[in-house]
Amino acid sequence: MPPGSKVRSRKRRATDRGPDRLSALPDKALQRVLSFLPSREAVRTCMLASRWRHVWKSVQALRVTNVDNYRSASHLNKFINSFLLLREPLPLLEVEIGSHTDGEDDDDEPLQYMELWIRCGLSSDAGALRVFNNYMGARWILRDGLITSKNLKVLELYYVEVDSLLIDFSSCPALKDLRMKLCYFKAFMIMSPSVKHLSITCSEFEIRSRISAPNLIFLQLADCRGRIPLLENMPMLTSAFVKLQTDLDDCYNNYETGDCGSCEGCCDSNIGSNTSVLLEALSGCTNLELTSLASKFIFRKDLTLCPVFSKLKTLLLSEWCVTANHCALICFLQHSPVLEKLTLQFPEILEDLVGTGASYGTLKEPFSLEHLTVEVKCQNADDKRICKILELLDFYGVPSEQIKIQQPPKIIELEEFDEYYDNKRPSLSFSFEQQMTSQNVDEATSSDSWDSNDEATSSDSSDSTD
Amino acid sequence: MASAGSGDEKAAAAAMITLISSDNEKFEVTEATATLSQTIRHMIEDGCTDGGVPLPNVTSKILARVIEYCKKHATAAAGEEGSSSSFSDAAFLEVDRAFLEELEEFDDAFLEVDRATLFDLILAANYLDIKGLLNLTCQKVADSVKGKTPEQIREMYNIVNDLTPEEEAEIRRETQWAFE
Repeated sequence: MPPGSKVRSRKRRATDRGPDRLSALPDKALQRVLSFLPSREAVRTCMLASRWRHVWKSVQALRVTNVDNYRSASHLNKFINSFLLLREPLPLLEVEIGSHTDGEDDDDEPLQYMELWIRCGLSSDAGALRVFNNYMGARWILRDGLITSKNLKVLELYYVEVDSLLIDFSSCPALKDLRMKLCYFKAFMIMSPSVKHLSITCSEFEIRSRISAPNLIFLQLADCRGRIPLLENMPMLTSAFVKLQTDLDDCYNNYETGDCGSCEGCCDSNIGSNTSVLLEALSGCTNLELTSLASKFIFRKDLTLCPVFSKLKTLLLSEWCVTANHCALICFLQHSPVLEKLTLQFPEILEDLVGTGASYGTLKEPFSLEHLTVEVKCQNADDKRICKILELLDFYGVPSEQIKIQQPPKIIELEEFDEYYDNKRPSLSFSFEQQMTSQNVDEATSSDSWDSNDEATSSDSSDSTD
Repeated sequence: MASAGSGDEKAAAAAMITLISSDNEKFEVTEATATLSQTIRHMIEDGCTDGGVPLPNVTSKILARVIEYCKKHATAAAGEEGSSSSFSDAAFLEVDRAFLEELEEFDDAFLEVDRATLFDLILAANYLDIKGLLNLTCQKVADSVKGKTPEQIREMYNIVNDLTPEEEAEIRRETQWAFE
């Protein structure tokens, strides 16, 4: 059959089924459609019909994150290099790149072009840059000064070692949203004058870094190892979710405020008695979630210098607030004058603390919690310590109908490394509220993980025309 | 319309823009709503909106939907001027969370349209240069072709393959790096 008649028969069939509205879109709209696809799929549309042959070349996004679809590191490298070379020289508004998982030990093939691609993206005016190192052989080392851009608003780093003593994002004055996961820091200071959303999860701090982000509105700090970073003043902050999972800042003798004076955790923590690591910076928040997987003393130590949480409306605490005389909890409540909702989340077994009768700056004046609603999530509501807390709440005037007890609680373990692509949202480690937030953030930045998100809306959109 | 109103209402009325659809239906919208469209924003800046803005490419049915979108998003877009260079703005942090959830639900519901309407909305968003609406609608189309083979995409959208076997072979040679 000659090619002509084949085309004719296809044409007839097509008109039967309605016009080809997709190909009829103006170039700009069609390019926009393709910009939401993984780049390889976008390029492959060149085979659809002659109208499509060059459309991909003007697509203003590079997205290569589902790296397992590439046979090897060299295939992936060849794809990205060819894409960057052969496309039209237009700005790349979004760059999402991942290295291949494959590679022998000491093989730098999966990582050899990362720096080049980032330079390429930033010099093409990228507003969003997401760098995923999937090569488990080595963390990719981010060199000092590489990320410098006037336009960059969103930066995401995954499994990256940041090789700077001072990580200063002043060179990215438009940066608003910074997310780092499985990163390694050895900096004494991480700073960004512009960032509003900061998320650091499953990362490691070699030393106690200071975080300076005076315009921050949202903070997530979870499941990090090493030293808990010290937060500088964040007057704009409204929501913070801090989940401690550190190995160094822990008192091996379980002393209430880390002052046993004999263990490595206490002696090397180097927190002066007048220094607040976290709470002082968080005192302007409206929503706070402060949890720890084991009895960590940092929150309690901060409470000995308790600031006033003058805007705090919702608060979630875990077992760290349970001390022998309950002074930590009382102190927190006394310093939260407008608190509306308190959630207490307890694990199955409460560890015994060595109470040192720490002075938490509790107030002598009587106070009442009659407007507070309380939710207690616990495995065993008959545990005597939980009964004690309920008595305490009763004593401070919380009406019993405003106290809800839920069991069992969801105790969430540290995320598995490779769960990341199954569930890109880092919020597994947190509760409800935060999940909502990160979802919203994802939507608003249109930053869903294209490749890993398989939910096809195709079924409903394809049905609707027939 | 607002002539009998108080001073405040008059001030608001002064900032009203009339949009005229291809089938000659008139829509009164606030300037804040209208300027989500860069095209209309430029017209306002050039002072050529007196007597209404004719939009010969947009039917009243589609224009009504577009206005619905713009009204909802006008609040969220406040303060985001001049950021059209990128489609990943982070202004979300400044507005309140409940509102964002509402906006998200609105967008989901807004996209529950048949395919013809979806393409009309894309064309209108493209013509009126409404960044958010263009992204929202194009994303929906992108989601529908994600993971599909060329043959499946052709089938789904009635795309006629007009490439000769020679051309196909040539394209395959040129873009071999994307098919390995």
